[in-house]
Amino acid sequence: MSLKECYVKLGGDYEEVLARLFSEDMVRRFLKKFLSDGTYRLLLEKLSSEDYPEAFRAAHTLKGVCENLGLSDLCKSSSMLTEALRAGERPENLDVLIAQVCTNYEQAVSAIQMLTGC
Amino acid sequence: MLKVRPKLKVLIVDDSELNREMLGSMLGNEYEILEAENGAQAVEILREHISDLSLILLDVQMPQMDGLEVLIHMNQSHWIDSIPVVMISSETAPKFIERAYDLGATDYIARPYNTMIVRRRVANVILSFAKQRQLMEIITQQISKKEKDNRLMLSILSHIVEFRNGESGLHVLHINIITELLLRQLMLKTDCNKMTYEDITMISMASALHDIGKIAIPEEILNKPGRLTAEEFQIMQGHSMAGAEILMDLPIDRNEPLLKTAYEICRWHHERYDGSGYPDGLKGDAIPLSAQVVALADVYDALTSERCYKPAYSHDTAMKMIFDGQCGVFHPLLLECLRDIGDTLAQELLAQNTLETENAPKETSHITEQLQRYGLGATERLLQQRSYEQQRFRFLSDKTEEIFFNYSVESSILSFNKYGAERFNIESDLFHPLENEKLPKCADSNILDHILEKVRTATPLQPDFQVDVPLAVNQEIHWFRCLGHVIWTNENRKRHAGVLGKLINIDEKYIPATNSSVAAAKPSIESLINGIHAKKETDYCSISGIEARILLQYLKTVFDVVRLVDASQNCQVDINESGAPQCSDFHCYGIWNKDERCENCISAKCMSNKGSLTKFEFIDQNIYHVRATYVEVDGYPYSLEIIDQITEKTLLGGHGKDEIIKYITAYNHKLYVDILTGTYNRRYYEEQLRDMYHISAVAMLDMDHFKSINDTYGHPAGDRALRQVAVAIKNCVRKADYVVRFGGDEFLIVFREIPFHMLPKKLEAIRSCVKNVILPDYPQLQFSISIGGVYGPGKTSDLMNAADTLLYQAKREKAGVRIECLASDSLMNRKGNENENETI
Repeated sequence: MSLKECYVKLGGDYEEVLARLFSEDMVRRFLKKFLSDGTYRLLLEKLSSEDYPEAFRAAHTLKGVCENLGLSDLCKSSSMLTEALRAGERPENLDVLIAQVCTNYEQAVSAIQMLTGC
Repeated sequence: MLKVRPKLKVLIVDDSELNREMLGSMLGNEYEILEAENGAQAVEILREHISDLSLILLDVQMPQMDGLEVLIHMNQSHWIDSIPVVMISSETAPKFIERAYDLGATDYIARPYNTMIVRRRVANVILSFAKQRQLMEIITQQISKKEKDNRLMLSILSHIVEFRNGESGLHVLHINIITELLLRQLMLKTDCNKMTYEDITMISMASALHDIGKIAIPEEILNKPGRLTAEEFQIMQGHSMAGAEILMDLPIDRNEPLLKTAYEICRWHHERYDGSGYPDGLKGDAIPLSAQVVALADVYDALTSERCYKPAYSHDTAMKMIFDGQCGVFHPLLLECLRDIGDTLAQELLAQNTLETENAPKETSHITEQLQRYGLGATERLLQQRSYEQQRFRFLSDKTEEIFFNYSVESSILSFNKYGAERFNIESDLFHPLENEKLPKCADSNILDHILEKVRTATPLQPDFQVDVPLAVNQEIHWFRCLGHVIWTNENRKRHAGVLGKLINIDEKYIPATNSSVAAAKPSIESLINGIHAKKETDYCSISGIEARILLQYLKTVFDVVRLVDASQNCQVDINESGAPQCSDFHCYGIWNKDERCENCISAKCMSNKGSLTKFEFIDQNIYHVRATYVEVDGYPYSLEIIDQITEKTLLGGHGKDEIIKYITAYNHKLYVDILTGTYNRRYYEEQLRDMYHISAVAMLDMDHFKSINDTYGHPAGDRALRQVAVAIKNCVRKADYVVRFGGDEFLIVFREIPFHMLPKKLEAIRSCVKNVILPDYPQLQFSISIGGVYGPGKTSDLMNAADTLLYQAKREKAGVRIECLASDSLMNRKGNENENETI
């Protein structure tokens, strides 16, 4: 699977990422890092313990990482979650938002795993 | 830059490891990357790397302490002045960005990161900051250098005068202080914009030269005890004009403001407001203000100091005499200023009885003023006095296991050094310490009030305080001596800017309840610095090895060479990290490229009289200003030598030409040379030779029947004879030997390292050379000379006395030459031990 195909699969803008990060190597390196990044787990943890201010921060960080890696779909859903959590309280449609983030995350992870072969 | 510089350090603060790594990779390996995952960590790293960080990339949203809080902290501690911050965030809401800019952020990079943008922004910001910082450093260095050089030059010139006057070196310093105090008071009183602090500094610096014209006054008049005759007085009065002329003759740009001011002061510091003064009889404000102020300062100090013609009057008497008009008429406003400062004046002079105080805060404040003058705006001022002092504080406090604290009014932060924070178990930085809950755990409110009272009662003139207080360390009460120094703002109306201090554990004084007798506390750095200028014999500085190490390090940042010398062993002493002094293999005179001890070893002199001395070394084309001060380190005596090189380039901030060096060197030469014969004069003997040890041999020579030559042929013939005889003597001795015209027709020769058997040969050679002297105009005249020579160890003056005795023996017996060799122990009790001496 090529990097470009990977980006199609996970719902991202390949051209834009390459323009910013310069080399495919760099993009690959950080996509691989994304797999071991703990932000997503932290977000789920904070949500299950109903610590919404911390969940906000984690969602915010996840959004930032996705922006940088050009993971557009996940970025969009985590961004919506972030804004919903900004007030520091449980938003009404939380479950829907979480489900969307989870779906996009799984998509991204499986695409990256296929790319890197791990 | 030719030097390979270490990589610039960049701190990346972001809670996502992935983001940090990505930014790090984008910046590439041009930078050394430090990372922090939240604001608290960032502050920690900042504290440690404040001096070498080039830039911070700062995220906004972070756990524990967010980016804006980091900015607030950086503002309070003024780190924001010296380190640029670039915000990185996906928070694009304008209120965040605005707030960040308000708090001093330099730039903003939005997500998603673009490699090009990140690199460019970082490089640009670092470059512009580095340029400013560099520029600032250059300016600061140059200003402080120029200031230092000016002072050194003044110190040299005024030293030459005092040297001759027999006045204590304090006169110049006193004039300097009084002038400054008067001018500052005048500035407060008149509230006029005509005068700046810079003018005040310049006038008080130039005041050092007020009596330079006394060089031209014959010594007999200058140092005459008793009243001068009218004629003598007239000659004496010539010194003000002579001083002005000397200054005009200096090969310096005449428009140099310092020179202009010095000229006014020299020429007109004896004018009086009613026109009754000299030399020009100027009246009222026709007399420049600088000269009027120095005149008043001069009168006050002359009255309160002992002079060869009068005792010292008390402050009150002096004030009364001045206000009664006994010393002439002064500007009424200046008299008012004198009255205003009268109370503090006597104390101030006593406190400052230190020659050449390198008053660091004063200097820095001057630099700060200069920086403002250079038009660098408030936001760009990086090396302000504050950060300069913070750096110094950190430097000093990091090097020691002592408790230092520092309170800044502006940021309302009380900081402790690492060791102090650990001992008291509190944070290094306490915001609003008096409202903080932690502080009362260490000290109850009475004690805090007690210390605060001391701070409040400190004045700019007496900024130091000391108080013993009980403080809680780990819930146990320990006694500490709190030594504090209050720092003041530079504005017209002085306000507290902060307090700097140190806590010394003094349990041993209080716990065993021995109370009463106050044992001297170990000195703080401030008092160490002051201590080395101790004037009174008993006031010498006694410090521990570790303190000596700190002191040396501190002084080395200001002076070219700072070292401890053990003059008894002629060696330079190093102090290792544990504070133990060790004699190094390096001879102290090695620094001068000499193979033997200096002719004028001030370290030996100050070690024996436990005082402090200054000298100038003239090596090749350079002048070195050397100060030696007695210090005891762990109870052992040493000399602390501080050496500054004065080169032609540094004199007068580069305006000087090598003629100044020549001028001074020539003057130094003139001081020591007998005009008639070209040999050394009596002064040279008194000041340089008399107290020298181990010079091996001394001969006293006296011409036979010289008086009859003068009586019969007149003084011109006598002078010519003396000149020829001196030439004959000089031709017979080596270059390393000293020939001194001791007085009249008496000469003295000091031989260095001559073998004993050579001495008689030399002296006989001199005798026969003198016999062969023929004066072309008086061929009939014949000369002979009698010589007493002494060979042996010990002090020159002892050998000289012995030689003198032998000379008269030789004269009486018409023996021509008599020589003795003194045994090594016989000098101690020479009298009555003649038998031991080998007589030839």
